[in-house]
Amino acid sequence: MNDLEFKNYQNRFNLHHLATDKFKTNLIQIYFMLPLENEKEAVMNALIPSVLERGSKNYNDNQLIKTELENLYGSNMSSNILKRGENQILRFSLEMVNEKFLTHKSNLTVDAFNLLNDIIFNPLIEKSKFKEKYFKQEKEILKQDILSLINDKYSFAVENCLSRMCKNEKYGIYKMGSVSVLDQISNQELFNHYQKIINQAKRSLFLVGNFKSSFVDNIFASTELKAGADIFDENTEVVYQDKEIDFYEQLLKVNQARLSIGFRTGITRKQPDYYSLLVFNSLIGGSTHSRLFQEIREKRSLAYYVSSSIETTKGLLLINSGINAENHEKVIELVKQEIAAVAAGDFSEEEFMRSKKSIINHLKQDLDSNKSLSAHFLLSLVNNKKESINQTINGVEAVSREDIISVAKKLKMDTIYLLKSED
Amino acid sequence: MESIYNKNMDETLVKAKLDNGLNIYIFPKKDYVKQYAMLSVDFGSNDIDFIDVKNGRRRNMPLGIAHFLEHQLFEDKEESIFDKFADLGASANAYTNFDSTNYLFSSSSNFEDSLINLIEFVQEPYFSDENVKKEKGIIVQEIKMYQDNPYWKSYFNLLSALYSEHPVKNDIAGTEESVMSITPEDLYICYYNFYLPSNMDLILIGDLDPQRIINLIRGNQARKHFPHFKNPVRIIKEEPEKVAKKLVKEKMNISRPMVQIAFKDPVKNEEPTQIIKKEYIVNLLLDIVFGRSSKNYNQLYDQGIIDNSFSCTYHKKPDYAYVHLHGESNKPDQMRRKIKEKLVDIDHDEISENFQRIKRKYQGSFIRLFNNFNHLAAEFINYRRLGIDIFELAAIIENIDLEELIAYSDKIFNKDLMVESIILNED
Repeated sequence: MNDLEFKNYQNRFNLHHLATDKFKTNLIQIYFMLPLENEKEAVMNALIPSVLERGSKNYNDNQLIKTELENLYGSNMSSNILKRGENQILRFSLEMVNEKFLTHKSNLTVDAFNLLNDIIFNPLIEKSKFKEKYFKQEKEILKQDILSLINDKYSFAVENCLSRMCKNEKYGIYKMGSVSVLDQISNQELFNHYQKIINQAKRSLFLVGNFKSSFVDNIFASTELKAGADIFDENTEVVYQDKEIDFYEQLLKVNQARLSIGFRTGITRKQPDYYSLLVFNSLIGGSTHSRLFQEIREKRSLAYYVSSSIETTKGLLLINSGINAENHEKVIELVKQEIAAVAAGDFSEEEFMRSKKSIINHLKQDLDSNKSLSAHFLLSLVNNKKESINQTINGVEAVSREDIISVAKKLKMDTIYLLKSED
Repeated sequence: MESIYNKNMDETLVKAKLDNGLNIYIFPKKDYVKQYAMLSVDFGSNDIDFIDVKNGRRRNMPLGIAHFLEHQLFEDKEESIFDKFADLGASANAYTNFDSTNYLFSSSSNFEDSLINLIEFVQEPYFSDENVKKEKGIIVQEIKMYQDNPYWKSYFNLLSALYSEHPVKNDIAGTEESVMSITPEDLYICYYNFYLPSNMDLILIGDLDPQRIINLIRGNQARKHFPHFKNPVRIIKEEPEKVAKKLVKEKMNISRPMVQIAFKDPVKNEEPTQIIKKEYIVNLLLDIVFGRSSKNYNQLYDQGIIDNSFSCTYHKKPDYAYVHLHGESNKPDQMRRKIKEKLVDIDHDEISENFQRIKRKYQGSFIRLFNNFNHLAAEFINYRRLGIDIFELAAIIENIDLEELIAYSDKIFNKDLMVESIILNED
């Protein structure tokens, strides 16, 4: 099996390089880690990349940037705000085709990387602030972005469940912050915050692909990314305690009711039972072979989708389903019943093996995608537990039935959220 | 067996056709762990009206039957199909679109057993009153889920405005009513009409030994008997040139209005290469006039009329075609007006100035296509059904001529054939 691993480069502890000629493209990512503190900082963190992408010193409007990217054979440049545990992670991503597949000679990688650097480190400045027009416009667009959560009822239910469940924790802050504090932010304040991030935030640089050695060797000469601490989480509070289950109902005109049930697992990636949690999640709701899919969809046709997912920096498990509102009690009962069955060891050897094989299959497939390789490595960095995909697979292989039973017993149902129609 | 090596891409395509008509296409990918298989049936949501191959009778099927059939084939007498794949460490899935139904799995081991599983479950239908009834509940929930999706809702409103006869105006999953009316007999009729090996293509991608895989499939198929039916004759009612409705409005619980605009492009009988070439030409043109680097996009963005939710594409099939622009906006009326203004009056110089660069972008995206198995299989079959192998796309893109873009720019945005679909906020 391939052993595609990120290696530290030149002892620069925050450059992670995965060399492979498997892909048609090369991927470069720059990450900044921003601890979730309050809604105001969160919304500023989300606003910064949008303002930067409007224009830089050498490419002073978006039209120029997009034109240059098209010239570079349609290179993709994007920025995202991720939430991992109680941190926002700001990601700038650049992907371009490998020069060797082009019929014309080109210096694609170098040119595209220069563009990315200009955008992140050379913003268009007017009166020691961001260009006022860009600041104002992007503020309005971010506001619309945050409000548009309601257009996607699946995510709307998930976020509403989590924000209620973690209302007294930093994790309860939405990954893009909140509209209510957006108006308070001034351009100056945002610019100061940007400088603070560039100078102080933990940062990492990922390279995945077949880069020329001349490029990699000189990479720090061609970027203004300063040396600094590599990204890892020191901020997340793992809450795990007995409490009454909270039940929230929200009314909105919808065709389908959405049910989200939040649990505390108390298990993060750092802990040994992380691998057991992976297998448990697969067994209970991670795939089409899972208990919930079989019971709720296949046997009783109560839903089209029912699935579980885990957050392993904060220690959460979430079960989501789209149902008829009048069935919500029945579905909650079935969820409880299936978890209790697993906790009682009432699952077959076949189900156990399927769950393991399913995770291993997905992990192995991650080896074939540059973005999956980088996403896997990002999580291991964040959790300060660097491991390759093959190491994760070994961990999953070693999980026993007893391990799964013990995870099922640890699970604490915390919050139930139901979105349903007014009538 | 035929093997085509493309030197530029460093990719190989192996093709074989079995005696029963099944086409096999293999992309051997050295050093990849993932293995991917897709069995694509040339039967989609548009195929509701056809002449039955068994008795020559005309059949008018309930809307959504292809999608229902896709769900139903996952039902087996004893064991769950999903479990059979899971036991092998593979994960199975399927999807139905307007013109095909696609069954697939991805694996990282046990490829051959999984492949046989795939072929067996698609070639062994089992429809009973009981399991058909059960599936209805699931599909009704799927339909309800899509009804809450404002993009989906307004997209189908748009299609129903464009077309008065062509079945593409109907939701792929059908309606709650049509789905509830489906019987096991309907499913069997569609099955024996369309699920013939000669109406299927098998696309396989991964670190595979093509000869060995083809022999395996040949052996499996040789043991089965298929009736000597011809492929069914589909009936697509003649679609008038004019649009069905100019405007459809609806209200939903959303954050801000959603605007979708389309220009109907009446189809003539065209050669497959011409269809694909036109698809690229008009998409290049759209990128030049309304893409992210265009003057128009950036002007309207600056005025707060559109933002990065905006996008535009040209959809081209042998039997229907339209230009599609959509986005969210707090100024929906201005957005509609401005887009119309800009498209009716396209500056030819702008096309000439930007042509080479946009072409380059398409060359890049062609190279990228080979990175992702799922994407590659879907695009491959799309072009294969038109009679083109995916490697040929590079030359099609290369040979696009500036004059052709300019010629289309004056014709394709015909105001009389324009329709709009608007979703407004619930008060």
